[in-house]
Amino acid sequence: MTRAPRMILCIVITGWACSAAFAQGYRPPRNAGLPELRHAARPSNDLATYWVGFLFLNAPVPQYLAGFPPVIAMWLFLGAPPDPKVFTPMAITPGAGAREPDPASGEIGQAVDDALQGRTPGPVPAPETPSLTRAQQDRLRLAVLPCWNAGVLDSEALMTTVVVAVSMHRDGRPEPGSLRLVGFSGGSDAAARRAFEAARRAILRCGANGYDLPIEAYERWREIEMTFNPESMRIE
Amino acid sequence: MTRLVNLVLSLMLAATLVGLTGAARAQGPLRIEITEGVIEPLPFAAPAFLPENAGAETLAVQITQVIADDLVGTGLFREIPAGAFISTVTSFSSPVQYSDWKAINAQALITGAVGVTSDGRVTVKFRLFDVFAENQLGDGLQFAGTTASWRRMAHKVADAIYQRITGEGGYFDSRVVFVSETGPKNARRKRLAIMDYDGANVQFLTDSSSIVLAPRFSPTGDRVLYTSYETGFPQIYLLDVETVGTRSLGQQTGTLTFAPRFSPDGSTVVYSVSQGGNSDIYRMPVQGGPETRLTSTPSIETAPSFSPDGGSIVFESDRSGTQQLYVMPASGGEATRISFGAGRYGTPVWSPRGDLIAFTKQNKGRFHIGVMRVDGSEERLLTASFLDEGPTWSPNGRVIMFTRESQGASGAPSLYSVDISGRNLRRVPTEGAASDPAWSPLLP
Repeated sequence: MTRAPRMILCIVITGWACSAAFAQGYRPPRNAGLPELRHAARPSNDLATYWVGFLFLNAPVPQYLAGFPPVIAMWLFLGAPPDPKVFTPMAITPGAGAREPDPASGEIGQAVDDALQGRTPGPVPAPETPSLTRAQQDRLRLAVLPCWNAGVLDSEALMTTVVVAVSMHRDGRPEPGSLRLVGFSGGSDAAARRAFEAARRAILRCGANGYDLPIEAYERWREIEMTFNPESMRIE
Repeated sequence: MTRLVNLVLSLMLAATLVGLTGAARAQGPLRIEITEGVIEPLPFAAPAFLPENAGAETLAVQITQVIADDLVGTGLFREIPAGAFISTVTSFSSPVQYSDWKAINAQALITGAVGVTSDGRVTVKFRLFDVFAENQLGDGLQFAGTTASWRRMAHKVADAIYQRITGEGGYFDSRVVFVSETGPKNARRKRLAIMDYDGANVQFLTDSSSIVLAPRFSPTGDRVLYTSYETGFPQIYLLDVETVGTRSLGQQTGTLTFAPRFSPDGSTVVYSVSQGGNSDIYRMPVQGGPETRLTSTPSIETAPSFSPDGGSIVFESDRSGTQQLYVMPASGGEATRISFGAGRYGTPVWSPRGDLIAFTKQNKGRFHIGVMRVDGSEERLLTASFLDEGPTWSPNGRVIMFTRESQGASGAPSLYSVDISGRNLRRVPTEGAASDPAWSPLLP
């Protein structure tokens, strides 16, 4: 395995591992070598800060492998160079002529200081995903509305509220194959299917040229769940 | 050291990714709720069905037109004219160019083919597509019949399309029996007639030698009950639609019987009997047998109609002083008043779905066709005119047909239909005046 694919693979696995770790409320193990860093950052940044601090302190490999959960240990394994001679404790022990990192000075020291003060260096902190304003959400709602045609729905389908999930392209167009019924209430399966078909037509028709959504907030609207509630459309 | 830097950079990139995806994931998908939409006809394209042989060319065009007319007639669909088409369908099995149909906003696409065999058999097959979802709605279907029944095959195709899109059963392959009227207003001649639901294929069932009233289909559509003055006073008769043979139901001479209607299983008929100025409701087996009296009040009870489950009967009565609607058990017994609005209510008919009762209402000099829940709640008036009366339900319970009579010396009755939403009021085409419609069930 060459370095680049290994790098990509390790990023993917790390992303998955960290998500899983966060989801399970992961905290760095007490005896991982950096007990003071466990209190240095917000919980959502604990793990990233911990890694950085750990690596900058240049602890021996066996220690950090022992201190991390298996998934992280696997990441470290995959991230290591392929040469088994290099993947040894000796390989990361500074040799002759190599600069000995000083935890208390230079860039590494700065990173530790930052971590201790709640600051995190470089791109480590998770940037806030821009949200959609109320007006932008209303604009999306109004954009779908003219295409949601309840005229062909029977009375039972008009009693059925459906929730439709859709994945969006960056240009604001819905991905046709992604539309799926994720929930419904008030009617039978058959009525929900008909209500879903009408909702799907609405999303696809009015989104054929792309909905007007802010690209900077793409991560926020990449996945949308639209609830179609026909209560006000029923025959009175 | 280089390896360490690589590792650190990898970690930073991974952490960034985690931060981004994690933040979005933590918030979940963007959720919005849509509570308003539009109610408008769904645009569809129906390119002329392809003739599979030379003899089918004319029929293919006619069948396509009937299908389109059926759908448009519901008020729920709008046909896109052929002149707007970008694509040409050249083969029944060729793939659909969805983008071409999307471009003209065709939300449904109907393709089909018609074949005629040398022995006069016709086959009609069709496919229905959801253009924007880019998929086929249901499987392709094929119907076969004689050339004489081509309209029925077209209606069946339209029923299937209607059902697939709306979820409701269709009502196109059905018939209507009615009273055809000719002559001046003060000397009308009346005949029973039967026609397709859309006014085509009219056939007369009786001559005009006697007055006929209030025909009603049996649940299977093969027989018709009606009231005739053949003997000089109103009596109930049963007519076989196929043979046009009639017979009296055998009421006692001297009584006036009218307003008959079948039970849902077709075995019993319920009707009114008038004696000495008092009318009550009776029932008796269609095949003959003893009458059972269901009401016994010194008031006028008439216009009975069974619930679809056969367990209840709705009827009109003036026992409270004004004409109102009541519901009682099908075996008779205590009746519950269900109408309480201003004006007078009459000719109630239970919906085939069982959820609504249609009625005629007279209030402040105007007549209305309306519907209400079976407990009398949620009354809605669908029409208003000089004279609207006698509602009858379509087989799917979505449409009501009734008689509308115009005002004045030259006024004449006509048949109209209206959606239960109150939209899509349409005149049903008939030759001459027509009244007292009764809608058949879907034909087999």
